[in-house]
This record gives sequence, structure tokens and C-alpha cells, in this order.
Amino acid sequence: MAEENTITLKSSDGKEFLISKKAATLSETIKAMVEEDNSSSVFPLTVVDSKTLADVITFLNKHVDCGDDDDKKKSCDEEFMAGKDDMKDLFDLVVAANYLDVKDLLDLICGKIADMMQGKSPEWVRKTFNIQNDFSPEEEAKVREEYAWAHEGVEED
Amino acid sequence: MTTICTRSSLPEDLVIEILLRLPVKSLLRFRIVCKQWHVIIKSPSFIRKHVYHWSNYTRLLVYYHANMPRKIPKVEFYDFTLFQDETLETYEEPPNLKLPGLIEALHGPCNGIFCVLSTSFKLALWNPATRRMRGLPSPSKEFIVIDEIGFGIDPITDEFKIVLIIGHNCVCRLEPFYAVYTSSNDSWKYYKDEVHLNDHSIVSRSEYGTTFLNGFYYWKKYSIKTFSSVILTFDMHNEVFRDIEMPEVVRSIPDGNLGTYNDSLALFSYDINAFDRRIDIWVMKEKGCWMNLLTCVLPLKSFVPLGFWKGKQIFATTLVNSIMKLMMYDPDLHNIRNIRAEKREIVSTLKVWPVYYKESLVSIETDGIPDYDIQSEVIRKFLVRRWGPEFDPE
Repeated sequence: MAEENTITLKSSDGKEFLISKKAATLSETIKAMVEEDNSSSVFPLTVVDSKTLADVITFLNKHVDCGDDDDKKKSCDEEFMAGKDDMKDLFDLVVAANYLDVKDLLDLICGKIADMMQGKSPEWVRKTFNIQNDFSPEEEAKVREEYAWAHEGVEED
Repeated sequence: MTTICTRSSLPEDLVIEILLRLPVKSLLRFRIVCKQWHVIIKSPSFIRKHVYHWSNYTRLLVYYHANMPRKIPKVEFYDFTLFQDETLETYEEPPNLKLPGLIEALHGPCNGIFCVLSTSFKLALWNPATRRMRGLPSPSKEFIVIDEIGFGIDPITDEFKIVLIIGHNCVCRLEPFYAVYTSSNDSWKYYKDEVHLNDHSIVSRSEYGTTFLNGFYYWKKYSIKTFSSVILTFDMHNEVFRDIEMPEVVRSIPDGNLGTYNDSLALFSYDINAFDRRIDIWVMKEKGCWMNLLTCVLPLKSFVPLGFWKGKQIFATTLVNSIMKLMMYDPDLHNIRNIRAEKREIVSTLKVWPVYYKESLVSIETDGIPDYDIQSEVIRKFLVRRWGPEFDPE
């Protein structure tokens, strides 16, 4: 019986994680995989590395334990997010949450990233998001000028 | 998916997910991050999603209007306070909620946009979050005696519309004429309706706050011929009026006003002169289909109910030493709370007007007609009050 209730998820770097079906299928993507292929018990996730997958599994297990209790979910989420302030890790998690289609996790990580962006400068955002500024200096000055007040009171990088 | 920004580590749909959770000021600042972000933040579909996003929560905005004598020049007789969260404990007076000119009335907000009527009877659209305003053309001159203004959005075309009903000179009765302004073509249309707008009707909107819901604007209309009330509604898309029946038991009561309850129309019905200060609150589930939400006794004599906050808590104003105060009344617990928001001492009577506000990026410019920063000379000139020579402050 136990075997029927668990599945194995395999990360992009080949590590295997055992997880209950109930927790795993909080991911819409895994749910669709399981429904499509009932006979398999190992599901490779080619775009999620082991570090990120371990985090996602922690999240899924916590949420299964919380059931429908929103207050409990909230405190679980706070616990889960504690110390997660490395943007690289958050990006990996948000990409995984999006790929695995876990709405609660996507909301949580997007909210965290947005919180960290508030009050920051466009230069900080470019650096953090690894974005090349493709405006010419004249174009940039023009766009900046339209809402010059929005650039006041920005944190030092 | 095409990623225009080179080497961006996140795909565009995730960038959008994150940007949707940012306040307007951050978004306006991040337009210069790269061209892709500029395009996203400007796009109508993003702006629309941002307004309705759950993280863009509704806050209480209170608008104070002091009835200062008009003789005194340069008296700042309006004030805004914005509460930080639903506990209504702390508030701020954001600098973006300052208007350069004097205003007679504010309508809305709808998707974060207000319709402003200046003391010189000029209309403008205003987005406090982007600090932009656009002056509107004046309607034809018979519309100087405006009895009522309805402000809303056409749910089909997504444009802002304003409806003006003309009043009789001197008496508070209606003329059968109305004008409709449409934001996309920036012009007025004129109509006549003798059935719904006539001189034996007195229209009262919810004196404060907006009663625009899902494409319709609502007023309470009392007929001095039949001594009964109906709900007058304006269909923002088809630009026509209709009457909606009120619950039979409260039809003959002339007092009362309208508000909203969980996105439905709420009717506060009470008789000012009645000894028992009983109030019946009805909610319109569908057109003309009413449900009695609650009946209670008003806790204070001069209590004017205006709307709801988080469940069944009732907002109301009351007069304390001839100063209008904002209160909250919990009909289940029977307690009254004073909502403190006024920072400075104001000697004159005030109008207090609480509204539900969500900030938005919604643009008020239209083809070829730009909007301007609220502090710009163009706006200051547009809103400037016409002082009589004897009161000219210069």
C-alpha cells in the first residue's frame, strides 16, 4: 500500500526524492504526469535541480499537513521563507514553482521578490535580474523625466 | 516566448507575475529598467491585471471638506487621509493626495480614478497614484446647474463616462435633460428623458461615496407627487436611465441613502424625524430583488450611515459640537468607534467622505490629449478658482 501512496521525483542533476502522492499532486504539473502515466513511480523533472527540488518538497509537505487551515498555512509559509533572501535561490524557486504549477508557492515567492524590490533603484534591479539596459541615455532620460518624482527616496544600492 | 532583454534570468510571464505585486510608484520607477519592462508596465492588459490583483488591496480613503465661508481667500478646505490597513488605526497624508486648486466635489474612485469638480465648475479626471490629471471640456452652458454627477466605467468599452443631470434653478428638482461625457473621444452628448427625470422628482445620491457598481450608477429618487421612492439607475453602456423598485416597506420613507455592501447596492432607510431612530438596511441581490440585511437602532441622534467596512461594520458620520466626525458602528456588538483621522483642528463643519481606494496605473490621457502632472502650471491654471474682485487674493 505504502508504495502506491508515494512517488519518486528525480531532479535535473539525478537525485531522487520520495514524496507522498498527496503532497506531490499539489503540483498541477506532477498531477497531470501521474494521471497520464499510472504505472510509473519515478518522475524525472528535467528543469529543477536537487537544491531547489528539496525546497519545493519541503513546501509541499508542509502544505499537505496544513490542510485547509489558512492560519496554519500562513505560519508555515513564514517559517519556510525565513532566511530566504538570496535572489538567485528565489529565482530558481519561482521558475520551479511556475514549471510545477504550484500556485501557493508561486504567490509566496513572487510576493517575496516584489517586497525586496520596493524602494530599490532601477540600477539595482538590472544588476539583480541580470538585465542589460537597452535604452540610449537620451531615451532613458526622457522616460525617467515623465515621472521624475518616482525616483525620489530610493534606497542606496 | 521572446525575451527582448538580453540575458534576463527570468521569462517574461514570471517578470509580469512579480511586477503585478508592486505599488504604482515602484512600477513607474522601473519603467527605465529596460525596453521590455517599459512595454509591460505601459500595456493596458498589465494595468488592468494590476488594478484587480489581490495584492493591490483596498484601503480606506477619507476626504474632508470644510464648509469655510467663501469670503476667506486661500483657505485650504479639503484634506485627505489614507489608512494603512484594515484595522483603521494608523493613517498617512500622502503628498500625492494634494490638489493644487480648490475643489467643489470629488466623485469615484473607479479603478483608482477620481472625477474632480473644481469650484470654478470645471471637471477633470485625476489619478492620485500617478499624480496625473486631465481637464475635461465643459458641457454646454445650461449644464452649469448640475443636480447630480454619476461617474463610472462603460463595462463594454472600458472608457470612463460621466453623466450630468440638470437641476431646476433654486429648487432641488430635476429637468429632463442629461449630458454624457465619454473619455475616449473627449466629448459630450446630450439627451432628454421626461419619463425618469422630471420636476416632481428629487434625486439624492449616497451623499458621500460612490454608488457605481458593475456598469451602473445608482441614486435614490423621491417623488413629491406620489410620495414614494424608487432607485434611479444609469446604464453607463447604453446611456439610459431606468427606475428600479425599492422594498415596499420603505418606499414611502423620504430619507435614507445608498451605499455598497460586498459589491452590491445597499440601501440605508431611516426616518430622520422618527423617535425610535430605527434603520433598515437592504441589499439588492439582483435588479429589484432585495434582501433585508439588518435592522438596528442608530446609536446616536445625528448618525448618518454611509457604508460598510469588513463585514457588517457601518461607517457613519455624526455631529459632535457642530464638527462632523467619522464613526464606525458594530451592530452586533453595539459599540461605536471614533475613526480619528483629522490632524489639525478645524473650526468649521466638515463633510466627511470615506471611500474605498485602490491605487492604479490607469491612464487618463486619450488620443492626442495628454494628461499633466498635478503640480504643473497647466493644471493649476485649469483648476484655479474664479475669485470675485472683492476677494481677489492678489
